[in-house]
Amino acid sequence: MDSKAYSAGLADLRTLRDEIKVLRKELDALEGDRDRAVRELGSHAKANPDRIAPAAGLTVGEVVALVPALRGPAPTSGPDTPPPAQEGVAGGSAPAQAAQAIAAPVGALAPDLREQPIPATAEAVLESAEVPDVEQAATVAEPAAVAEVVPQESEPAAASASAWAGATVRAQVQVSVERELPSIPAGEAGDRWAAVTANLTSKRPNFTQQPRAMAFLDAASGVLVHRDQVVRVDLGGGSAAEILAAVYATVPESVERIYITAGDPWHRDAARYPFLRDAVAAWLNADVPGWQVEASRGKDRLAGHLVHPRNPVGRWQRGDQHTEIRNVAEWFDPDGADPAIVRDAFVLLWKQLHHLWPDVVLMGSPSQTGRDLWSRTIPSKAGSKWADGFPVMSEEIRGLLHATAGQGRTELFQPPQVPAQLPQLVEFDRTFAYAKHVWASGVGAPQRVTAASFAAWSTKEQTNALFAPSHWHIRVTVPEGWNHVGILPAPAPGERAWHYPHTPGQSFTTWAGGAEVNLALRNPIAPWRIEILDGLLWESGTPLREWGTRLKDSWGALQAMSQIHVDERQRFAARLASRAVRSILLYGIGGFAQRPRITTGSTPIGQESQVPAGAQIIGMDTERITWQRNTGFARDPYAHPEWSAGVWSAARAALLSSRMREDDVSVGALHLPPGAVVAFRTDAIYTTADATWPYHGQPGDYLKKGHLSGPVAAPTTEEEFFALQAAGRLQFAQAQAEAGTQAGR
Amino acid sequence: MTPRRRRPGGQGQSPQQPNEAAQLTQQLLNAGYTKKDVGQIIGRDPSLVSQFFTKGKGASFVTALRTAVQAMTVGAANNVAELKAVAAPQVSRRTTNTGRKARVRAKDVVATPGNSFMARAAQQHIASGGARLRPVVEKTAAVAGKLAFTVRAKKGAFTHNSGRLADSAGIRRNVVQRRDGTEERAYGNSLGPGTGEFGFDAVEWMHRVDQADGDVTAAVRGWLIETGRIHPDAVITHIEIRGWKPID
Repeated sequence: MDSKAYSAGLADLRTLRDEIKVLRKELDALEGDRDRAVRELGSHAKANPDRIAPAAGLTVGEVVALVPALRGPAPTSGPDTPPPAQEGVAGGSAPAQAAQAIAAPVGALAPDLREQPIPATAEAVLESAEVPDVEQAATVAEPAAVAEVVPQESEPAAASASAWAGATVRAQVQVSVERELPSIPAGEAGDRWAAVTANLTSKRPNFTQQPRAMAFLDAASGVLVHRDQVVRVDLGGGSAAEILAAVYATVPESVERIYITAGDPWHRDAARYPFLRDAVAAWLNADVPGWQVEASRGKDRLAGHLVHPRNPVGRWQRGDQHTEIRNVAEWFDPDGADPAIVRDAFVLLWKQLHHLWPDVVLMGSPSQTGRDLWSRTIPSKAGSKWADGFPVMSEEIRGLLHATAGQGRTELFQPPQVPAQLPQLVEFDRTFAYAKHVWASGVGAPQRVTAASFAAWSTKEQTNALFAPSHWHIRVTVPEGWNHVGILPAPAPGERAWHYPHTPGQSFTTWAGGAEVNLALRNPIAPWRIEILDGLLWESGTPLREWGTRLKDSWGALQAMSQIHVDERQRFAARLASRAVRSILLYGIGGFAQRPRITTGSTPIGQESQVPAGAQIIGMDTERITWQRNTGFARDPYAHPEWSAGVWSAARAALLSSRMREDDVSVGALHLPPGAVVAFRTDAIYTTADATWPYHGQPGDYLKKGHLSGPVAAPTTEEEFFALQAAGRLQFAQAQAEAGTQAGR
Repeated sequence: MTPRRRRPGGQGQSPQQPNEAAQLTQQLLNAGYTKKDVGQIIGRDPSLVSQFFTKGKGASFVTALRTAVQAMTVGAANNVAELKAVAAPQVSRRTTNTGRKARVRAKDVVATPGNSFMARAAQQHIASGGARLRPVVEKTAAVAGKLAFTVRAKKGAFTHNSGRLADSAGIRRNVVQRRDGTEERAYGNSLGPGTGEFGFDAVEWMHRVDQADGDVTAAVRGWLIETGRIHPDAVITHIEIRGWKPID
């Protein structure tokens, strides 16, 4: 640009300025007219801001600001007085609501668990029965600790003001608003919780499941695989009608399950719908000539479609013929596998499980399969301890566990907790981690341990309790000088659900599993101060051990096959099958944490009265209303949230510290230098320290999965973190490939 | 402002007046049928039949109407039901360019006698206060029910990342990632183990909405910002609010 062009540009700019000035004046005039009109209309007796706002192109708030007289009167609905801010925090079931505020909580100090000749694996944590008589170190909690006056939480009003506090208390709400977890009511009311549900036990089934023939369809390419038959079919637009017509023109009617391996046909028109669920519901509910939505199938309560945004299940019937369309991604990410490989994976999976469960039947989803396989490991021998079945906890305890036991740990540490420039970023991922923590679980009716009863125990009893399957309501104080990651989960405000406080001297009240409390007391750095407020203690048993071991063996065999099989396609299939075993275990454990059961259904428009009471309407199109209903904690004989809570707690504890006995090393985040942990993702650690932890391919071992050489800027958002994660995995894979080629020469 | 009344045919051209659909309808009207009857015969709303005359619509019903008129003239059909039977096979749903059945705008509000309510709004309706959302909160509060809502916004609008499908932690519950870089996040559903909250107290929300001068979206936004869930400058493109009365 020369000076002439520059001057010309300035002249143009002046012209623009003047034009804008004119228009702005005009705009101001128009807006003035509008405001005047709004005020005028607002003076009308029937004026309604809801009608004026769209007409004026303003929000209701702006209209009300112009015409304050339109501000609505006090609400006629609901009670006159605003409810106390705390209500609605939990919003959960009645038992959870019964949570009493701990006005002046009195806790019993937990004993010092350090200096004990016990290996620090999380497994050992649960093998409590075998390590009962450990001599206590000198520092023992005196029963007097019970009476210790604990400073009250400063400004209880502010602390308990929940996220729900209305605007009236907005000023008092502090930035970090804690969720408050429910607690067991004091006295007898709470003692009644520590029980099992009458006449409800998990028993070994006396029938085998009906196997269903499957077909595998790639909805993107139209490749259909059934047994040895591979054909390409024309799916047209990919509607359910076209898919069913094309599939049953090729495969026999005996096929009752169609797995979609790719193409997600239910998302084909997603862009046209405001919410993805609507697109799925529309796909499922579209007319399928000749077929009806499955109404019922024997005692199968799952009949009807399941409207799920990613993994929907469509169920139809034609006379006596039943079929369902499902997404294979429920089992594993097909990772580009063609339908024939996916079929092979299911064949390998069935064969492998068949070795150990002669009556295995693959159900529609891994969680159903996991539960069915587990039920077939329940001891049935007369006279064995749980031959009558494992009792199911009381509804209150299930609700409490549901509200107070979290799942995997996800955390990102940002500077200054980590250096701004990371020297490197290494990813360690625990292989098949949950399989390591199914060794021992709590069975039978729990014992309630109040602060008073805990304090009254001998140190030995206290120690035993902290090594047994248990769930504790505790007040925790992070020790002074603590410079590492947090150990115990605390309820977090907002969407994060849980966080892991680590500021020295910080105190908080939370619930945690025995494994984590145990680790906090005898971690390799400094013991945490823990006061027991309440607790549930179970007898240690092995309800999941047989199931877990068999799944572990199947997983191992399939893993091996995925390494050594001569045929590349079979290796791929074996890898997918091993992922499927992982899903069976993972979702099987998740399935024990019975959530309030949600069922979905749909009703034609115009018949709204048929929508059941208590239903939540989750979508609608021109023809149908889709709804879901919470059928509550149904009498599900396979509900064992105490087991999933135990596994999750043990897995979180092992992520921090676990002992590899054979190698005589301790591994986990707490064995890395302070400030070296960058992130936790369920069972993976991202760190700046390249630890040399042994890896034998066993469940729970740390596998190095990524290595990004630095320096790199520390991630401050999840997006940045994911970018580094991907780069690290790529770099590590390339380095390994190079090392492999060099070794080959 | 109410849309300016357009001249029939639009684009300033006067259409052939009346058009063929209107002419055929007129024959039926002459025979003593009403516009409502004609609407029933072709299975559409009678207001559409009026628009054959005023707005030049109805081209796709010409075949059906012609069949009906022929059947009437030869005496093959002598009442609405019979005329409907002959016309129905000729009436088809509107299709898209690709030949699929065109989607018809769904109602955005639904209420059931069992005290289940739902309403949704997209950007335009949100901008003007989302008036149709408020009754859901009001009616649910009146029966002391529970509320849940879903908002859709750009992925970056949310402060807490939802992760990735391929990531070991998986995708958070109650989050749906869309291909266009937006996310739907549902609040008030149970978030799964460890969060134990199911449904918000509608009465509590009624107060929030009242404080926001009846603007439900503003109340929801305020709550999301207050609890650190979205960035204050985030734009919510879609909102759906659901109310129900739990059964004990």
